[in-house]
Amino acid sequence: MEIIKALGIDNYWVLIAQFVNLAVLLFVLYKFAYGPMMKMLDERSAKIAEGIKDAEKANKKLEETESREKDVLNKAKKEAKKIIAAAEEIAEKNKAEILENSKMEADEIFRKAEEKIEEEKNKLREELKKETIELVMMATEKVLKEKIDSDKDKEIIEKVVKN
Amino acid sequence: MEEVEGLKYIAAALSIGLGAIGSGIGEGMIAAKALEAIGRNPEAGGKITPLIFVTMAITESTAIYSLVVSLIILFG
Amino acid sequence: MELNISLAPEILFKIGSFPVSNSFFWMVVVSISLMILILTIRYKFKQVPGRTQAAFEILIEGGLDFVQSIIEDKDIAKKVFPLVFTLFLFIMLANLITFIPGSAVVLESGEGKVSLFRAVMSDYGIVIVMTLVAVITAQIVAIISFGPFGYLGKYFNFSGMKEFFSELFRGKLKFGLLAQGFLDIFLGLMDIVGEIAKIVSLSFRLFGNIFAGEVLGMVMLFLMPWFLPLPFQFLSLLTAVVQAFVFAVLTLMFISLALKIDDEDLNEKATV
Repeated sequence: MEIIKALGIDNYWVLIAQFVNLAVLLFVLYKFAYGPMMKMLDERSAKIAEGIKDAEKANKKLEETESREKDVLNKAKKEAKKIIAAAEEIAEKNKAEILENSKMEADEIFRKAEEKIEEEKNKLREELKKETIELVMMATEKVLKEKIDSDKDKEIIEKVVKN
Repeated sequence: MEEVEGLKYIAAALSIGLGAIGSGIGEGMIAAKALEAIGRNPEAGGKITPLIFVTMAITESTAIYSLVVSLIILFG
Repeated sequence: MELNISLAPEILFKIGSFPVSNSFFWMVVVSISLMILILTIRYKFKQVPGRTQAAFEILIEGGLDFVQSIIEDKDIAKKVFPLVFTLFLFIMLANLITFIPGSAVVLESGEGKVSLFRAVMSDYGIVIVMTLVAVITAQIVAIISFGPFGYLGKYFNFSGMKEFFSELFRGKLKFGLLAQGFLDIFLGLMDIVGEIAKIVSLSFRLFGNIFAGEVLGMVMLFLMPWFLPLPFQFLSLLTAVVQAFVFAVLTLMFISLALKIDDEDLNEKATV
């Protein structure tokens, strides 16, 4: 056909030579560039994958440690609460005791105070009696215009006061 | 033989002239749609721009076929 | 000055009876320089990379990711990746070399003036060889993945007719199945045409872009050499990279289409 001649592909040796050129180029490129390059890319991606796995493992460990920490903290808090509760109870008990004790003491003091008052009252009465006796003696002395024997007076007046 | 020469030139000119019509319209439509898409979504501009050239190259191929035919008529 | 455009590459010299055209010469130059570049990088491999090696690694890793995003299966992706990446690098380098100044070097040869420079990919022989390599690789992958009879069954699809005949043996005459059978056969043959169309389209896309860029550059230089060629050169620069990328990606697509889709994978993809 004329078109093959016009395009210049009528000499088939030239076509074969061009094909051989292309094949040699492909072969050389494959052997020296793509083969080692792809191997290295594979190795690198394998390394990266390993690195990611290691990072994940480290992350997991970190999480575990954190959760364990939290557990320990929780337990410690619970213990602390228990201790506080126990201390509160004891404090309550102590309060009650102290209250009672103080009440009892207060009662005692009250009683003692009452006794003392009674004592004082008695003492006062005695003193009052004595003073009354002396006053009456002075009065009778004035009436009788004479100082009688204090003892005899005392006898008579005591008798009177006792009655 | 001069009529044949003249007819050759007419044939070559007609071939490329008529062939370029369809290609021109098609490429214009590609560009219009691509610009519309970029206008609607400017972030996709980086992905669309290389594709514009690729699709234009493929659309241009029919015009290239007629160009080759006309060159063969002229020089072959 | 006359324009010297020819579709076929010009011949520089002959080795024995083997004609070496200028584009062939540049193809060998590009291949050898690419190989030397790779070898120098390879013999300076370190565990913790330096700058060139890091740049190269980024390139290869990016390409590998891209291929894996389309093919999904990592083993097959690793086998497909060298071909696709080499095609991309080779085409891109071959296209970018045309921007080195000095394209007016002209040698005197037996048949008149012959220019020394010509873009590698403007030689249709080179382009068709690469396209055939890509498409035949896709077919080989399909044969490996489907098995030889499954592969033939894609193109000569008699499953519909088989169903029709099996229903006929049970005594039922279903015309729907007959129509389905014919449709399957027709579509299978259309697939063969589709494969040929793939070859033609892939090669002509690359060849047309590069060759037209060259012709345009020559015509512009001929008309007004001072500022007119500039926008066309920019377009050629963009085209150089994009066409390389499109060629490689389309090869990748052909190969990925030729792989068998397992049912479990479909279910997995559907649930995702």
